[in-house]
Amino acid sequence: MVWVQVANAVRVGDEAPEFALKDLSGNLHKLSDYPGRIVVLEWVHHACPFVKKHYTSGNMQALQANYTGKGVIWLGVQTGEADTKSLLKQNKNFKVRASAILLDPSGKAAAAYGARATPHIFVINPERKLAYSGAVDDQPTPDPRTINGARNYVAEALDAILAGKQVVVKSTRPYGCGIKYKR
Amino acid sequence: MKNFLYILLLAVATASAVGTSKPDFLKHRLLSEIKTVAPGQTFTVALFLDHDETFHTYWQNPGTVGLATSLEWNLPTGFKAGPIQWQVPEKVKMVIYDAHGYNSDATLLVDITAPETLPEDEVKLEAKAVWMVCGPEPKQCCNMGFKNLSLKLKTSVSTEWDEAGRSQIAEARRRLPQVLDGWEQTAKLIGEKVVLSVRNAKGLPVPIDKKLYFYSKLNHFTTLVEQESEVERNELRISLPVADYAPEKIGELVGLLFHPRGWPGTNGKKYMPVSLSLK
Repeated sequence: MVWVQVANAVRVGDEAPEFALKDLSGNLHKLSDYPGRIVVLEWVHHACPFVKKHYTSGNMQALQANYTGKGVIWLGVQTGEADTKSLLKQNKNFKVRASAILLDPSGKAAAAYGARATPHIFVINPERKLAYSGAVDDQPTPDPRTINGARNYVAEALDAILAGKQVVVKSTRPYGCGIKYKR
Repeated sequence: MKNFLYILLLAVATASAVGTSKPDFLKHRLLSEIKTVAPGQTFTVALFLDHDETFHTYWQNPGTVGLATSLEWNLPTGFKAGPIQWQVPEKVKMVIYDAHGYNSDATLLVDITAPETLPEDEVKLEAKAVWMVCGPEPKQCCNMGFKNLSLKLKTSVSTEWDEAGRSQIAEARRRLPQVLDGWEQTAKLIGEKVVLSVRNAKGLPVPIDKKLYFYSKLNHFTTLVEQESEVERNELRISLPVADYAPEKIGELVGLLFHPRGWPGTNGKKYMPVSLSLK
């Protein structure tokens, strides 16, 4: 059963699984390409209302810009079928500031990480351990008005790692649109 | 992995869903058991969600996926709304993920209390309802519903019932959890699972069933891993896998233990309320 495989995915504290995924220009990205770096994996699909919440408000782009400016590698991942031209257009329209957008057509990366929703965020520390898995924030709604005042778990995790401190909230329930895995 | 041949986001069909409700995948209505409201009266209203075939909305704890339906009230001065009274949940399937919700329809009850002083003519009760409605394969889509709903009630010194609404609300009350006496319950944390044990005080045997299931009101348990149950010397034990997103310390276990055949000695009641402290 697929759900068993999702449930058996990497857990916080474990070594982050390797992946090899192409970006929208066809360039291959592996986790091992970024030794000693903080890596964020952001599962994304712009048709999802919960993803739109963070992009129409500019919340996600601000996070991307802030932390890539501090040396973090931020990789968007779209699992399943993808129209590259449409994705490029969406990225341009939303002024996406991720380091790259990767395509995961087989779902192998999503399965390895246990990604089950969009957005679902994974933060990998410089020691390649999974440091955070879960939601962007503590407001499980597609309403962008809730962003102001929300507790941003991703920012908390990244700030902690950048400051050499322990991540306090290591795992939360991702809220959003389910990612489908087909047998 | 060979099993992962093809993946599709179920949200694809919801590309234009933000701020709209097209397609709805359900019919909705705010209804009341009364037509006129009297000073100081407490009465019940309900959000009725009639899902299209194979679609569902979510319970107060949807599980590892999904989003609970919510109501945000905007009431006249002095009126107060209670919490949603959730009817007993069912397992639902958001594409491949098990979750908690309602497969056919849901009538979510809310008690409203009027102030002692009312306007002379009528009052308008307003609520913003938000829900997530999803369907399984092959429809593979979810939609967010955002609706501003309202009810107008005339004010009076006496109550005039809305018979249709009253009947539907009465039927919905029968689907609320009911107290089950005569059962001993304990729970303890063992590794990464909470084990809930129940035993009939009179020693009635509890049949094992693959569909035994604990609906936790708190989102501490994953719905991606099966709950395992066993019966030994008339004691039923069910193991609840703690979610990776659960708080470090789970202080209580609150929810409904479901037995598809009905609990022995209860005239077929299928949902046993559980409220325990975990030490």
